[in-house]
Amino acid sequence: MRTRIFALLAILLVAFATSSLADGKKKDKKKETVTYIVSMTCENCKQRIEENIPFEKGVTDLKVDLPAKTVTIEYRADKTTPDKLKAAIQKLGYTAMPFHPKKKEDKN
Amino acid sequence: MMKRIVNALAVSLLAVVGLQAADNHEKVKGYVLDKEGSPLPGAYVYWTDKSSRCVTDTEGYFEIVRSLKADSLCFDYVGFQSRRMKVDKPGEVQVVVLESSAALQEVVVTSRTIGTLKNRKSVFGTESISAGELTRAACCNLSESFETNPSVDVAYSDAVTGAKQIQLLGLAGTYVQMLTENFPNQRGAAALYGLDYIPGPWMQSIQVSKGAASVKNGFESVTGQINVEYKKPKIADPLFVNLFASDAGRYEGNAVGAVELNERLSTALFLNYYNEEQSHDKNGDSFLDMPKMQSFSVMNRWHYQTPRFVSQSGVKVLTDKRTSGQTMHTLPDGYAYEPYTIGLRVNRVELFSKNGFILNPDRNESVAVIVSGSYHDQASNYATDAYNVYESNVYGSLLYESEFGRQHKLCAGMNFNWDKYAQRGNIVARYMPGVHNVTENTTGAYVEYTWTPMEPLTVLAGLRADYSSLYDWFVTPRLHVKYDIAEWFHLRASVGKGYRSTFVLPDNSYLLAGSRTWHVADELTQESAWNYGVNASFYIPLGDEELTLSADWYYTDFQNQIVVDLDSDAHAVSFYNLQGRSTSSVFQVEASYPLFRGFTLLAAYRWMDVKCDYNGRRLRKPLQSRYKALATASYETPLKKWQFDLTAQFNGGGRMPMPDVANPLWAKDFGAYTVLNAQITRRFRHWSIYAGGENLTDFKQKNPVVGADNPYGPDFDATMVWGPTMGRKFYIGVRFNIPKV
Repeated sequence: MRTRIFALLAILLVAFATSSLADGKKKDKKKETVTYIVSMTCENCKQRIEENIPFEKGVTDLKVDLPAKTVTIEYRADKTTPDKLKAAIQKLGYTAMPFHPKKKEDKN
Repeated sequence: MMKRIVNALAVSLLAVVGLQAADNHEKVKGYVLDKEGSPLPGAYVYWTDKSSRCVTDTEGYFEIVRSLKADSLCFDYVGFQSRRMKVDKPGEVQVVVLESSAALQEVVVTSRTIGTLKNRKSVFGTESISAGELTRAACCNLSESFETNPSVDVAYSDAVTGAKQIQLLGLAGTYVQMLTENFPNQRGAAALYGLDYIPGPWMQSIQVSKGAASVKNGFESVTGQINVEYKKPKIADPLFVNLFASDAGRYEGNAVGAVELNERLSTALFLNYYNEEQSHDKNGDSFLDMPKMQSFSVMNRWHYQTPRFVSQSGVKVLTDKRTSGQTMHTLPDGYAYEPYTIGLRVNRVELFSKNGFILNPDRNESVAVIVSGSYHDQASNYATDAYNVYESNVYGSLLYESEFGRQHKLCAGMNFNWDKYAQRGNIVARYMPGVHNVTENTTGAYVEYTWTPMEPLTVLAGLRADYSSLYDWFVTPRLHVKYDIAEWFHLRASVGKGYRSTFVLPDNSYLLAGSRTWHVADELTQESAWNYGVNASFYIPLGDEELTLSADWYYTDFQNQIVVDLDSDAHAVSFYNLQGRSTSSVFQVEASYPLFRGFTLLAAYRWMDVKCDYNGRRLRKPLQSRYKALATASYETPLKKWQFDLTAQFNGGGRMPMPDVANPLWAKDFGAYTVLNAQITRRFRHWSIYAGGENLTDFKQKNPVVGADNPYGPDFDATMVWGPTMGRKFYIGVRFNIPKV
């Protein structure tokens, strides 16, 4: 019984520790976000982007949406540029086009 | 806005009612780009049946009404090569890249989807374990790959030999059909140690289906099917290396190399070596806690593909050597007998070839031929007793598949299976004289029909008839139904029959690790059982994320079973045909929720009621927990550079086989216990490092070897195992890969 309680506590502890970690994240002024439409076709393409783009200089966050074919990158403007990030995606063998979500809303 | 809401309501209402007309209102959306990623405005987009067409806007964006008949879109743009593309996932955004006319390179026409891991749509209740999931724990081999899976248990069969058994639905692993690359493998003698024969880093994914499975692969699955997919030469990284070491003295190395020789031909080479040569006897019972092991395996596979033909072939060779029991070092001073050692030596060769011909791509009409074979040479000794088995298997399958419109799909085929067991050693002469060689041929044919009368309903019915050289004719019916009551609520039900031929010695050789006398009935018949299952899955949007809930219940009812009776006599094991009833009823609930980005919690609880008539007494299955619960917490930092995993397994208590009444050597029951595992992974672009601990609470079954002080006496029994025999263990490993360019 004691080990069971201990095991459950450990899991909860990890949950709380990491949640406070995530909440504590501050928005940096230098950080900017860019979204690309990328010619991904399957789960493997998504994985490849997730395995490589985080290690590009200046990248601070990454979201890959396979059904919507979008790759959203948060980056530090003093360390990299959208062109460099686009080139990094192209280097992996995919075609990338800058995406402007606001315009899309007007269309609908 | 109002219109949009009304539209959305109408669409969802139609979906609920299940009118196919709902399809008509759906639009396929996407972008047309050039190779550099610039939009191509004014490009023509139309269906192959010309039912509708449109032109892209300034951003290359298009929306086109779905066609009823055609599933391929055509794209035209001046100065660029026209392109035809099959729309496999109409719900997703399509991104089409056109090549300029000047470039004469061939364009890949269809976008292939390999390794789709979402099984929501499947009519079978299949759970998938991806390569990513396998990196969450040590996962040196298949037997360790189910630690984070709530449905499958892996338990040591005994305290000495290292044989492990999978359990699905509370029943022995022999009732699960094991497949590699979708053909039966690891049967008979290979089943006991075979889980160790598939190294973790070789695997692409594992699929676990509970309950009646498809009839395509034969009649054998009673409780379910487990399929292992190895890494594919065409998509694998050119080089992958994994090194692993644990404080228990296990050293392991894996390498997978893949080469694409040309557009059609690719090959991959897989290597594995492990060594666990340290001798541990932490509980001081003079028996090693784990066998000393050394194993080497190599596999080479080839992939050949043209637009109409796909062929995959491979060969795998394995050698495995284990020594366990007592050694000169573990024996206390002054003992006058030879150490009781158990030795096992296995050599195994597997061959396979799978060939598919696409006859008509428009209706997915294809013919496939699968041929596989294996030779398994296993020599074992239990002190002075010897048991050797030489097992040969040949399997062939012919399969035809075609779609008739959107609603009907037919699959038909034939299978052939040949098993031969040649058994040697004094054990055979003692317990099963005259059964040195056993051969069985089974030939069968099947049809499987899938009917999708409307989008949310799928009915799959399969029927097969087989002729066995030992058991004559038998029929295997199976039926699956899936109904999506709503987008967030899916229901599945299945019923089916399964059969199995039992070969007593190869299936149960681990029971030789003890002094129990074997009694094998003369006329053992074929095992057969019905399996019934229902499953409800809910996908509930909660906050920004989705809460996944599922509940399932499976009931297995044996018509005949070869009962393994450890209860009637504490100094014997009997094998006989079931007289009375044998059933398994398993209820499982599971919930998983991404609490916040990167953090996923999973909790599962499984309640098992497995009962069998042992010599007229209905008892629970011995050495099995009454419940199992699992809780896992996993956190990945936003860029996935760090990953933290924690897994807790809660195992309920259970019943021990009946101890001797006059001189009880073990208790009647065993208590509940908890096992806790944790791992941290740090990823870099081309490599990652991971470190973790298993069984962190250091829980061990006390005295797993009964009568250890006199292994040559009548009370010796190493098979009364219900919990971990090894304590806390720490490990560290690295993975290194050269990615594809």
